[in-house]
Amino acid sequence: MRAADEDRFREFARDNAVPLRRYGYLLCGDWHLAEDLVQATLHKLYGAWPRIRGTDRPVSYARQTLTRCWLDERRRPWRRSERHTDALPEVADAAADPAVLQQHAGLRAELAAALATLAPRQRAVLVLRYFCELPVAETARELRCSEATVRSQATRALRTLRGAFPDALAESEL
Amino acid sequence: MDEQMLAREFTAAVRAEPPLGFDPDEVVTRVARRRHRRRTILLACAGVVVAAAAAAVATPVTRPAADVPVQPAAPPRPAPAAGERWWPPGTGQIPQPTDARLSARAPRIAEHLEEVLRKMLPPTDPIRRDSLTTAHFGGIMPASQRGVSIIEHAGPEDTGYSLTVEVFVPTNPVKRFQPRQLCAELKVQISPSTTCRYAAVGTGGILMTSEEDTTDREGTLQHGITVTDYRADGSYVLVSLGGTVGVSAPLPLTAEELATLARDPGLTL
Repeated sequence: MRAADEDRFREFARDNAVPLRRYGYLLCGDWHLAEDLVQATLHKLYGAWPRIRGTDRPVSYARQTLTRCWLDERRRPWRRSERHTDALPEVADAAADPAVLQQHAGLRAELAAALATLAPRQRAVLVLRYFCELPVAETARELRCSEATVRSQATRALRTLRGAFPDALAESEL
Repeated sequence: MDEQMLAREFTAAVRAEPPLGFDPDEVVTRVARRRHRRRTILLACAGVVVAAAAAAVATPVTRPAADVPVQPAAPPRPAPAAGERWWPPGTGQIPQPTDARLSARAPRIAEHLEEVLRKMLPPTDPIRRDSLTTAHFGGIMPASQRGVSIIEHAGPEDTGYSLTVEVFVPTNPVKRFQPRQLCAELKVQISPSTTCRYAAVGTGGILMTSEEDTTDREGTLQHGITVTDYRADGSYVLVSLGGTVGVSAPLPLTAEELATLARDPGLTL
């Protein structure tokens, strides 16, 4: 890669590392894994940068790459064999460590558990639609599926979440 | 739960995010260095394959006509210099490690490497593993290689040096080459300043040492040393030492020490 391209890529990485990590966190529910995903994404983007820098959607490309990294990660044998059945118990000392507390900041435990029950693509649809605020067409393009699939995945995912949060549903209907 | 609630939950979840645990600049530097080294190796190997193919095509296969008296065979020539030897020796297939074997050997090779490095490097220099991959190089090469690639960072974080160690076997069908062809390609692809030395190892092995001066992307002159132990069994170990981008400092290991490392019997698949 030429020096000028590399400088542009550095700037892109600096500007987008945090937003990509947020996106990754909402996909996987783990800040540490989200950071790994962002780094893996930057590794892959570096090779593709001369090809995508001229396009108007490098961020979209980065999100697509991160989504694929996450889907690949979930297919790994040690991920498949690991199944969370409950929230990890808090240890007494953790409360004294602000860094540990910050790592636990994020999704409410109940919502995190409900999201974990969704199929990966359903979860990706929810994050792209309701966090990244992408329209249906753009979401379909990023996930390489049809708009009808995006709508049906979102409907099913929300139905599952409603099942996990009946109180919230009642509240929202008021 | 409806869409608005979910959007609010998502936004709230990332509002109290922890600080970024890595430096994007450092990630880019690491991947740039890694790709540069990989490109160097791939280009060199591609050059060798092209040169070997060209040599094979250019060599005429002639048979004497029936009425032409056959010339007596010339007396046997002395063994060629190490740089002229063809590698890998023989024309058979090279045994290939399975994926399971590579996965099992990779961490052991890395641990062994770090153990050896701790004895070779100054005790004050910390060693950090940058990457450990079981790789299958292909793409621009007609013949690919499979094996284990390790990148270690040693010394101070900002001014240390990087050591790449790769233990590979060429995939079948194997293309043979001469180390001097590889060196000629390095001069073209990497730097005209590249100098190469060769040493025969046993009956079929070759030890090749190349040194080159290049200018990194910050304009700093960098000296690099690469030693490759082309082994008689068809595998090879490449050890490459270089400095940090933007920092000009003497390398902590000599070519002889790198040769000792490349020939370490623990670095094997």
